[in-house]
Amino acid sequence: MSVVVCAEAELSPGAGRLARLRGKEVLVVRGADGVVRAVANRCPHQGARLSDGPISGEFLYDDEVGVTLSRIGQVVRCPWHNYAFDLETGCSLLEPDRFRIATYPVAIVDGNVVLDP
Amino acid sequence: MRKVGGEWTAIVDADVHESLRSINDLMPYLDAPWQRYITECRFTGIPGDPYVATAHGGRRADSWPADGGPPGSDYDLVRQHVFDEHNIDYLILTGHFYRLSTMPQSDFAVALMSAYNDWLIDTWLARDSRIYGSLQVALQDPAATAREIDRLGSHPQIVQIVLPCVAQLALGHPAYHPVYEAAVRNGLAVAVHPSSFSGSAASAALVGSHPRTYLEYHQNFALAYQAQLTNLVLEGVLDRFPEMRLVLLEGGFTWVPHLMWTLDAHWRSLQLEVPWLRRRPSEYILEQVTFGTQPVVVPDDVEHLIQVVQMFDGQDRLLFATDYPHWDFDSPTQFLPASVPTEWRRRILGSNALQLYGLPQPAEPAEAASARRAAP
Repeated sequence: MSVVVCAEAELSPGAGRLARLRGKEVLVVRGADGVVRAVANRCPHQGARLSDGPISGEFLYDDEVGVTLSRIGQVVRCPWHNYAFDLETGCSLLEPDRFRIATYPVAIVDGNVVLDP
Repeated sequence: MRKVGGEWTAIVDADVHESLRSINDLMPYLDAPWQRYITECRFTGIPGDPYVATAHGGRRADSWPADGGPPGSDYDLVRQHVFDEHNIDYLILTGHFYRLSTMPQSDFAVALMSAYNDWLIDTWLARDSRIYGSLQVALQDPAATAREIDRLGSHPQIVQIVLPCVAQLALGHPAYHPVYEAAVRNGLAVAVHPSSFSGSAASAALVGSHPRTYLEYHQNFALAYQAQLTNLVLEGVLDRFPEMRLVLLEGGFTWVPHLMWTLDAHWRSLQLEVPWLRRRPSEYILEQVTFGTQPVVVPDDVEHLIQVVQMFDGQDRLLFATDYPHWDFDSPTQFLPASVPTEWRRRILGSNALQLYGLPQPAEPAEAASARRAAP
């Protein structure tokens, strides 16, 4: 059953909103690319609520250009141990086979952000 | 309390950091000249490490109070995050003030020490009988610190003194004997916590330069702890004060077997240098030292963690700690893998700390007690 999270205009790029879907807390985040993504709100490590952590990006390194930040708004970091999760896949950025959070379908429908559309 | 393996288990959090809202909190506790250091000379606090803590500034991202104060400064939020959310029975406050011992201006440091300890008692210990405290020390002045320990050491909620992991001298230096003597005289444990330069000084001493990442700085706490514990054992502090109970917080514990084995091995060959040691070095560690668990590190093969704990009977000398409000907080239900034996878990969560600090056994939840009364 679909759930309206908020109006599209209320979710700016880089921001997140909490919603509930089938009894579970879901974190809905809009990336700097404008795409809305949704993941389970519980860190699989020690159970912290991811919505209390920063919405971040991926820190990369290149010999020529140094440290860069990419995919802004597509990563959430746990408020406790700073574990980073890819909002697109739900996988840990560093150990994708070891830690993973559930992802949920979400879309913009008639100007609203809708979970499980 | 929490049920562990079907039995109610006390939970003691051995490392929680209370914080001043600002240095102005100490004004009522300072004499006039030292108040002027704050108002006229604009002292705002003891400088910390020059590192950006790249996990939320070093604090849990959800630990910032709504009133704008720093994490650990708001009693209600500490109560919610530690006592209420995790069924913790007692917590031991350790502060952030142990950097005091690195201040060059020793007279001011001594004044701040006393002011802080009075503030701790008034602000935290008087407010909640489940909260226990650690006296801050100013190791620049061991005699003044010993007097301070005698002044407040008999307070029923003061259970230990807390030292920085790196001070001006190695912790085994004879200059500090009066401090340890006072702690023992007052029945207080001696805790050690990472402080300014704990990781960077260890690196600089060993490899010649300060680390350029917070990660390396943080990693090297364990090196500083191994060096300090080695120093305390070999300089004979633990021998001289057999009743001294040393509590090493946040410095790791998986290195303990290595240290015991190598100390014993080298002592066999080089004992002539430390003839004052009346026992094998490892015996002092096993009898007088406990270790905080946080941050627990879990290897890929969990059995390895269990084995390493077994190697130094860690189940009897580990104390659970959250390190609230710091970013590497450990939850009492999640900090150990499920395969760790239940009895170990119960000791590490609570009974080791109850015994070490002489804390009262907490009451079981009312519903558990009434269920037992109702039983035939």
